Amino acid sequence: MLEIKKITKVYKMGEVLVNALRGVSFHINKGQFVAIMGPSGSGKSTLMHIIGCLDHPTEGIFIMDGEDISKVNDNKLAEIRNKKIGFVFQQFNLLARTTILYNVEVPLIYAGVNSKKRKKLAEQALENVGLSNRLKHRPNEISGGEIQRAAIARALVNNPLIILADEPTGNLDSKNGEEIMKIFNKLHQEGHTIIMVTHELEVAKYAQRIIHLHDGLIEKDEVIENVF
Amino acid sequence: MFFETLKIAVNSLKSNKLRTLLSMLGIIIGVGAVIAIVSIGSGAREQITSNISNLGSNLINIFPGTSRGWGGRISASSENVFTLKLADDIKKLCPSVKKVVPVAQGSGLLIAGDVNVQANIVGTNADYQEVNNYNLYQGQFINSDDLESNLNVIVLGSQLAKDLFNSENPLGKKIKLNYKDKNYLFTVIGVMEEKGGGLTGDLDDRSYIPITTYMKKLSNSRYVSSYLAQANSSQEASSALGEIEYFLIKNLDDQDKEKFRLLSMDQILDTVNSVTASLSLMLGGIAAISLLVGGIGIMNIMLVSVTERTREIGIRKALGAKRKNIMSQFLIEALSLSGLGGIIGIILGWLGAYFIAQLGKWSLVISLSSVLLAFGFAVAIGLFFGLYPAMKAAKMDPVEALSYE
Repeated sequence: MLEIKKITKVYKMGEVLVNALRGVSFHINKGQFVAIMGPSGSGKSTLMHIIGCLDHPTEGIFIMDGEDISKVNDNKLAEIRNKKIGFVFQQFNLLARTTILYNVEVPLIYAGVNSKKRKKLAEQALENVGLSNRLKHRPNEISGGEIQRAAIARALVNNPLIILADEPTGNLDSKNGEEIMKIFNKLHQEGHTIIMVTHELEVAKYAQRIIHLHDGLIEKDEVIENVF
Repeated sequence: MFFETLKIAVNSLKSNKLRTLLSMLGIIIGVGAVIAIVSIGSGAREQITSNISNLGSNLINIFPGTSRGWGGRISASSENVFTLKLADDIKKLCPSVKKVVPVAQGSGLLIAGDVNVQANIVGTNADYQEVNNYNLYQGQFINSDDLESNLNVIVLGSQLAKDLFNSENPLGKKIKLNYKDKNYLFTVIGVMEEKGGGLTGDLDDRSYIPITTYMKKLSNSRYVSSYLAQANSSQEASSALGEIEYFLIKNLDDQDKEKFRLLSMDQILDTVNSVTASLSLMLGGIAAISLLVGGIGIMNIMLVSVTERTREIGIRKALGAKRKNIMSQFLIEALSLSGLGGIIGIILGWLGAYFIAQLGKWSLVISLSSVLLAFGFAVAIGLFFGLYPAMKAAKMDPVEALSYE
């Protein structure tokens, strides 16, 4: 379902060219829960941005859902992000001045869903993560764990093909982190495809497969025994 | 989608009310100034115009020429060419002219009891009152008997009557007129109604005596100061003007038109109109500059807002916002700023114009075109100055925007 062939990415940082990815290839099937690991500077964030359609690869082919999207324009990428990808960020990235409910509605706004249906879907998504009682709260009025649950609801509301999580527990204490991982585990059981970037082995162990990156190359691609 | 974007924009403006208000201020002042200035200009013009047409738009003043055409005031020592007979001749030979009233003017001291007042003494005939559309408050105006017999009778302007006699009835009272160091005794036969300011000073401070009395007893001259000609109708005013000019050139053998000067109410009206129009234009220009400055203020605040909300832009882009979504969000925000500023400006300008109209005692005139123009200009400025910040927001790279701290 997701095929990456010899992806490279070269950045220009001031005068210096940085080879963030130097030819990465792998394949992810529907329903897989994959963790991407690696030290900082290994290129895992860059890879994440490319899989998340936030950035173009410099070279290589990226096929998602049978469609080559390594060369499509920005507008099309925005559409793919909207319809096929649900993001969960380390920084949560909710809009601070609006309610939780509105935050979850945002992807639906850009998908052109009408306000009545939008509200229903957003409420449903928030109920699934146990936040029905927080609809009218703003992000600064609820706990970090709740914020991340809201972010997961937002990622799921458009029924995406892939859930992309970037260090989802990085800004949470261990108890809240564990709770979030339990949600990811449940989503995996329900058949969602999840790709998660992390540098914590504890967190990566929730996945079925770990791709280790080092200096822009895949160091190891292992299938692991799911501990849960 | 538009409605959603509008909601996002309005919410963002609402969340920072003071800043919103401050950034709208330039637009508010600009639009308010345009509305108020245009309204005040047309209100004042309307008042002046109606004053002039009150005086009669079919009137033509005929003055002796000053030695060099226009400019400067009419000097008393101008060439002596205007006789009573010439007035009759103009009337006889110019078919569009209904009446020609000779006027001799000077200044004298009026004394009643222990009150004395410096006043404008106007020697004229019985037609003066009718030609000027000027009514009596009490008594009567100069009649033909007074003129034939050179009687010492005087009609007072309303303010003059008040100054001299306070609340007493002045009719039949004797007053002294001191003119060029000689005293004359006059009988008050009438008081004019209140008229207010005219084009050549306050009409209520004048007094009127028979022109024959003026010429034979006061000035000892065969010549008068000016004529006041009345055309048959307003429509014939310009042909009357031409006839009089032709007649005077021939009659006075004055090809260069040096001995006389014609001034019609139409000309005065034109002058007033062009003066107020250019004044309005100038003030309108200043207001337009204020609008421009307001637009720059909006651009400034929008640029700050875009930078401040870089992360929000990144989030929205990650969640599927296209360039046009971000673009329209910020553009609509700028338009809401300028549009709202425009509306507040219209209200304030309206209020300002209303108060000044009250002070100036003229009617409030708000033209729809000035409202639409000012509002349209404000919105156009919002669009123009909002475009660059909105484009800047739309072009942001989502990865960079997301990692912005």
